[in-house]
Amino acid sequence: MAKRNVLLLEDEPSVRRVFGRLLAARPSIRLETASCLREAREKLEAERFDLLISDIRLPDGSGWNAVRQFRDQNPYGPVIVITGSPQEEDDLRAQVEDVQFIPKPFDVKQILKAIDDALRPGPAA
Amino acid sequence: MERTTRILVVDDEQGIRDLLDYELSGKGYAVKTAKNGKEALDILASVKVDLVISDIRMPKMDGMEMLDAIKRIDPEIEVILSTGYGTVETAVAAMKKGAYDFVQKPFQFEEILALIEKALEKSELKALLGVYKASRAMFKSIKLDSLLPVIVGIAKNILNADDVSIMLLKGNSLEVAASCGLDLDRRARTELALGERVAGKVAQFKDSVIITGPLEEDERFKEIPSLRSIKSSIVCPLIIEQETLGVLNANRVESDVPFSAADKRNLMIFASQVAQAVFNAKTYRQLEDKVAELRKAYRSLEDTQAQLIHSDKLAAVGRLAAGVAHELNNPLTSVLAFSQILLEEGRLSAEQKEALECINEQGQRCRRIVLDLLQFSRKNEPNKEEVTVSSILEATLKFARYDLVAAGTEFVQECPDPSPTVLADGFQIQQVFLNLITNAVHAMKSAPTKRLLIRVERSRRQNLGGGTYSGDASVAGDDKFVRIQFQDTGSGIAQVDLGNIFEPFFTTKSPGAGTGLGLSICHGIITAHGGRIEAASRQGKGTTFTINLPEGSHNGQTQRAITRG
Repeated sequence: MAKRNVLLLEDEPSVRRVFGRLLAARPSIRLETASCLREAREKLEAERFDLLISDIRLPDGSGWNAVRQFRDQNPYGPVIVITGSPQEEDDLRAQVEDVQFIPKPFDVKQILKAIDDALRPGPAA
Repeated sequence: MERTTRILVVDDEQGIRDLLDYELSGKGYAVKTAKNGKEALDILASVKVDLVISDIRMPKMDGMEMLDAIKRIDPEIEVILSTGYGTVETAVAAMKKGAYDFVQKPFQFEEILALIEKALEKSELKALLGVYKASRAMFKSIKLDSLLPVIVGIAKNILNADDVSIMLLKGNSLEVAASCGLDLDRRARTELALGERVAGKVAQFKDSVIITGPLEEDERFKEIPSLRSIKSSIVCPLIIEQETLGVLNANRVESDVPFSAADKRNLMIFASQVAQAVFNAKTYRQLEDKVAELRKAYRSLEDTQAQLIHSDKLAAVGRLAAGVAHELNNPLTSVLAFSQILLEEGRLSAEQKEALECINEQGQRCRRIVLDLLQFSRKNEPNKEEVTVSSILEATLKFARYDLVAAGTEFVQECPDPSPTVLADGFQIQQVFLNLITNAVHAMKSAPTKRLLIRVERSRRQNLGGGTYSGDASVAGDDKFVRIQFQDTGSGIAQVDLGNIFEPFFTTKSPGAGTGLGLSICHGIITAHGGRIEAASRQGKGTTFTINLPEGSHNGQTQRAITRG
């Protein structure tokens, strides 16, 4: 089975390290990271991803831009949004864009389960 | 209309009658004559007379008997008696009965004339004195309600009127404001349009009117149908600075003696005083209203200012809190995640595990503080719906019951059945209740008696007792409220702290035990619901938090019926 490509867009290095450590135990997952919108845009243009995990408040813009770009390529692609300061607008967008919303700080088991669920082949796939 | 002074000469001697008639007419008086007391009384019944000069000894009715009768008809009529015998006893008896003076026959005309002039002067002075006294009484009171009845009473006495009323102008109509001797139900109109009837015309044309006979016989008012058998009236406008305030009506109904020009003059003087008094009272009342208005405006300004300062402070604190929370969440994410990962990998020594567990627990505590801060900074508009207070309490107790039991707290709940409803966000109110219960349990930790009473009742007015601090004073007082009280037997709050408990970050708990945001959040929630929360406390006795929330439109019964349906 081919490795699943996951893109993590997160500006906080310590949080990127958390994901690196968490997914080290998942040999079927290849984790690619981006620390800002620009970097994420480049990576999304370069290759196709199976899952996007994205922070919202980033130094060069809103993570929702990355979500939209990802969905342009992969209309039904799963998205997990993580943020430490959710705004009312984010709740609304999470519903509109149909993404899973997990506030920071999160429970390790909860985020792992969300990732596993997102990558499990669904009936439609 | 000014009438000359009328003198009635009563004497059985034709010569004396003719003499006095001739001489007094020559002096400008209107003179009537009568042969005896009986004839004199007949004249007095139809003509207003100012002075009577009478012999004492006359056939049919003598002078003394007639004096009695005259004083009964009109005590203001002055009587001078003359006698051919001139005994001192007769003179004293006559004076006692109210005669002005007496002369001995034969008299000099000049002697009589001097007496007449003195007597007339006295009667005028008496009337003016009445007016003067009345004015003094008037200016003692500034309240129209108590002043006007006094005025009409005095006017009735001064004028010997049967009824007197004051009508005040309200908009375009005159309304009776006070009356004396008037049967308002049966005989008189209590409201007149401007220009309607005599009073309405007087108010319109601002001119005093005297009517000395029946209304239909008066050229000026003959088109006005007579409502009752008034024999004579004076109506004076009450005018001040060209503004008509109303009219003063005086009527004679029983007495056949019509009002005189002097009466009219006196009433006009009186009316000017009344107008001044009414004006003063009105001005005073307007002033009072203004003062009350100002006081109200000032209060609301104070409230608004306090609120503004409070909300400004809250907003600043909120922005800071949100910023801090955002900054803390990222580092917390890795602290919590790594400690959790390491603990779950289970490759640690006992000491390492213990230390890591401590890191994780403290990290969790930070997370809760951050959540508090975020909630505090977020202005969540309550999602209001009609909900029973008992159901909110029930939901709260699901969470709180364990803590209450664990702390050994006796718990009493008083709530009317069916429970009152409030228009509220059930979850937000639940959060407030939970906060208050948690605080109460904490305050009773080392109290000898641990008892929490939650009392729910309907209240029409907001109750503000002594030693109370209210977080917000800008709540309407007349509406229906539901009052929910949380009364504990805990350590209480010091009076100096009571004013600060709803301030963010204010806490009396030991460092680390609380963020000091709980009550501030409660206050924010209750205020957003149009309610108020306040605390009363006695140190060592306990604290009572009182919440007033606007009552829902349905009562409990209707609500149940709806729920069932």
